[in-house]
Amino acid sequence: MIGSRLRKIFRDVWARKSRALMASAAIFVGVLGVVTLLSAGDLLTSQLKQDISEEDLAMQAVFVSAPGGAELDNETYLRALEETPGITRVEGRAVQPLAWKLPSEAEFEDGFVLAAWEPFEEIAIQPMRLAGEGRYPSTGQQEIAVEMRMAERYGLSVGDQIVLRSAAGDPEGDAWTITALVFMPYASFGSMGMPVPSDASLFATFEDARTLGGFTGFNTLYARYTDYPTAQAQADALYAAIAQETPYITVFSYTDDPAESFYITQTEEMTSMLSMLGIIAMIVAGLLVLNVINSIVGEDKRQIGVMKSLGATRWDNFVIYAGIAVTFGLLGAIPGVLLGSYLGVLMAQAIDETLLTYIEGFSLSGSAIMVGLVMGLAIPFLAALVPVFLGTRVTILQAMTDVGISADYGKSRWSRVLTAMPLPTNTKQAVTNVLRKKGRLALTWLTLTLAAGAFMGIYGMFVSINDTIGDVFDSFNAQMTVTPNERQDFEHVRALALGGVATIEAVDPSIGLSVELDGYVSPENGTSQLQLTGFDPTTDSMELEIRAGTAWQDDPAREGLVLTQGVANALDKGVGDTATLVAQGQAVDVEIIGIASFIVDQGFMEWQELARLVGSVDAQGEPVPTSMMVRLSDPDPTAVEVDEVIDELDEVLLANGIAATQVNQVKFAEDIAQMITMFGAVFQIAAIVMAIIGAIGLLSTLSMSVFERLREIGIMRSIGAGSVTIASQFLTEGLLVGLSAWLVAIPLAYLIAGGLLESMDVGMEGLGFDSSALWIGLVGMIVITVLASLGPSLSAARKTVSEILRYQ
Amino acid sequence: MPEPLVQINDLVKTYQTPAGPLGVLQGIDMEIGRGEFIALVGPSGGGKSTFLNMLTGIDRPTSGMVVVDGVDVSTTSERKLTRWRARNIGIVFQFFQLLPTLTVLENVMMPMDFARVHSRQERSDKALALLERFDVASQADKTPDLLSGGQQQRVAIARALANDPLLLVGDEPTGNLDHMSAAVVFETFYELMDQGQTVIIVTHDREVVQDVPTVLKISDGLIESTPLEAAAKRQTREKQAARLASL
Repeated sequence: MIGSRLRKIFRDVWARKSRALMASAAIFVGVLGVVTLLSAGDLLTSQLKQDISEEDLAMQAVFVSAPGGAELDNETYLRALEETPGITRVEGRAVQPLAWKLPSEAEFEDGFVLAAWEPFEEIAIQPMRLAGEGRYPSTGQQEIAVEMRMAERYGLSVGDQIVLRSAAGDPEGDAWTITALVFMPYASFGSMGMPVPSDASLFATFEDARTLGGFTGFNTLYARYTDYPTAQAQADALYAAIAQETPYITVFSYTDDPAESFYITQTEEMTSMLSMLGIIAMIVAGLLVLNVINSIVGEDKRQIGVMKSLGATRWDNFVIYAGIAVTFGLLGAIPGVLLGSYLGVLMAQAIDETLLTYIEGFSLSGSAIMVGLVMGLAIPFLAALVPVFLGTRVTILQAMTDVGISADYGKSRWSRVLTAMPLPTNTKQAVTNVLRKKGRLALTWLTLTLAAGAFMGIYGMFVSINDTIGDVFDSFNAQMTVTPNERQDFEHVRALALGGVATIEAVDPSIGLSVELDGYVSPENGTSQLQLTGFDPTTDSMELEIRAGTAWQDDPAREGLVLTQGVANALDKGVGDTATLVAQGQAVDVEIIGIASFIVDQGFMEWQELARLVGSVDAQGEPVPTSMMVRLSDPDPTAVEVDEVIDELDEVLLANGIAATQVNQVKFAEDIAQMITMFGAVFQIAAIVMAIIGAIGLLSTLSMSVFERLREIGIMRSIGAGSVTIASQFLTEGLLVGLSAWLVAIPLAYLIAGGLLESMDVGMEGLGFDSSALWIGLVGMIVITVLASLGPSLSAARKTVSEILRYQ
Repeated sequence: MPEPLVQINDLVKTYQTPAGPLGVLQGIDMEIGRGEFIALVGPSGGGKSTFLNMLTGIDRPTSGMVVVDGVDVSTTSERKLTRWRARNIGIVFQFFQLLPTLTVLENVMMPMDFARVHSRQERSDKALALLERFDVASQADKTPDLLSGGQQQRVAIARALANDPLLLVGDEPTGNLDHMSAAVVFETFYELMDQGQTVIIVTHDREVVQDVPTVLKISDGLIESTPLEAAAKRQTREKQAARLASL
């Protein structure tokens, strides 16, 4: 009994090779997508959970700016900050740019030196750890440690020497010895909160780092509290303590719940979203299997009846046809799991840096494999349930007397309308044929609609993100920002830059930091800290899009605050109202003089007013900017050209004992765009998977249509229909299905884009759906449907009368 | 007198159509003994196939009773009927209805698999023996599309006999065959009859049933019988067999 059933299953699958291939291919693509995405996510999340300890994570990170040239009693400051209620520990970090090179190289590379106030072994918050042999560097011995990813990239090992160029030392640099390779699982941020790449990170004691980097103070303070709710409640108290107890100025800050660390949650959110798309692709593949099984059961109606007459029970028939579906699943799932596991590792390794982790070697995700196998088998089985259940219900009598067309064929209202329409006969036939098998039509159409909707939604969303972020960068006219490690005399630095680098056209002062805004709650971190940018309105360094108020249009020296629309809405205030800023422990009322369009919550002030507000002043009480915006004579330089200017300016500043972090804004914008493109590509892969499955579905449907209508084609041929006439009928069918699916996919695309933005919790204003996606979707749909229809159309057109008659 | 294999009492079958009720069988009473060979002839639409469907349980009567070997086929549940039919009824169809993706041997084994009789090896051996009996053993590993019509029908007969059924029925078993093949198939039926198999066939072709011992005509839903002398029929048959052998 089992023998006959298995035989029938495998023989039927083999006899319908092309359909089996299509159904299996759809399952393969779906399983491949799911396993790849789940594997990557699982590997990344597992690695992060391995590397990151909840007890070690900072609950609050405050990026600070140190006064230039001052003697800093960092130990006293840290102990004073630990008096803040609820705090259990505060640690200070310095992350500064450092030029380095291999002894054999002529050019220096851009790197960063990371140092903690505490000795290496005593670092308790977000510590690094030794990777392999070696020991931490000692002070004064010209010893350095490198991050293992930097070592891997440049082929460095313990005992090697590299050349480091210190701020006040020999421009040719000095040789330092690598005493250890370290693994730093936590993100490091330099001045202005810029992330530092792992493959450019070096570690030194604080004293050595000060010598190398030419700085005296921290740029990051990490704090841990008794618990996270306390951290949230006391965050502002820490900012006040920093202002009152230290000479540091808070530039930027965030709080993070270690139990839901952004390291892990961002990875989990991204992978769960991608996995959801992968699962949708699997479901779409299941629809295709449903379609195929439905047609097979329909074709085999008579055979089902015969088997019943031979003693097969309904269960026997159910097992056979469900078994065919499961066989499709098996044929697709096994290669899908194998290839998906491999690609998952590659994907994890490709994006591990972006997600602040490191995937080494090759390992399999057991859970992803299990999910892939289960889904690869369960989805086709579930998809086949209904058609098999219904199809095997047929009695012997029904099976033996079925003639294929119902008695009321051609009598429906639609049929009568179609007959009356002035369309070519060929087109009428195509439309009639599309409507003939409504169930199969619905499945194919649903598949294509989902695929088109997902593709257009994802594409439209990411184009919008790219455009919106492009607008942000367009607000900044400066191609570079220079942030001295410690606050410097602005005019002095400006003179050095203008005099020392020919291609620099202008150097404008700026100050960027976060200040407490009374009544405001940041959607990102829940604190009342608002990022403020101070700039010189008399220059062209920034171009804000002012929606309300006049800001500095009439008076560049005007005092006041420009808020972005999002902040104004949150405060329920407008132009002319007063906002209360709290800085240095004091509340200051500031007039709102404008509302600007900007994608993230921000505030803008005239830089000198802001500098005085936060205490960024020199000994004479004159305002000091924390950074400078540099414009080049070429208004549209490439990233490489800006890098060259940075190198040149670096030489000039270092020669004058000034160490600074310089940001290539052009490259930064390109990197962001590239990162968005990369993420978008990952999402688009999921959408393309669905589009492929949709195409396979259409190909399968049209192929079955050709098969079922062979006699009709034979008759058409015998009465003189040419190949073009026959082929065009199937092409028309395909296009009708595709175009109608595209139309319905349009609102679906908007919904998907909105849903994805909502789930990503981006919090940017102005993001939405770029309608160019609709036209690209239309073109794509036409291409897919034409390609999918081509094969069956040509197959139908090639059939000769004698072939068909012989077949029949 | 031995118990009849089939007892039919007042068998009525009426179909509901858009044009009103259509009475196909109008109240048939008959008995079929074991080992009989009966041919049911009649015009198209006369109820021949409907009668056969009542006999095999494929269809249910509107009223009346059909009892085969003590089992009331007209009222037994579909589930029980399926199992019973597998072991007791062999059906030969007009268009052979061999499963195209299975080999000839596998087609013959299938009823044994569904009825769960014999071990796997025994099923294979028995299937081969049946094919040899009907002179198609050389086609055992081929799929049905590679056989001629006559060969396919002989395979279908072999399949129908796989579970040693009490009753072998054929609905127009030679309707799709040429004259020569039809003669060969009927010769097979005669041999089965000689071996004690009960055979009932329906056909519209009176010529092929000339030598069938019992020919019943069904017309307007009722049966008229035209029995012929059994001996005379046997002589005619022997001549036909000799002629076939000479070919």
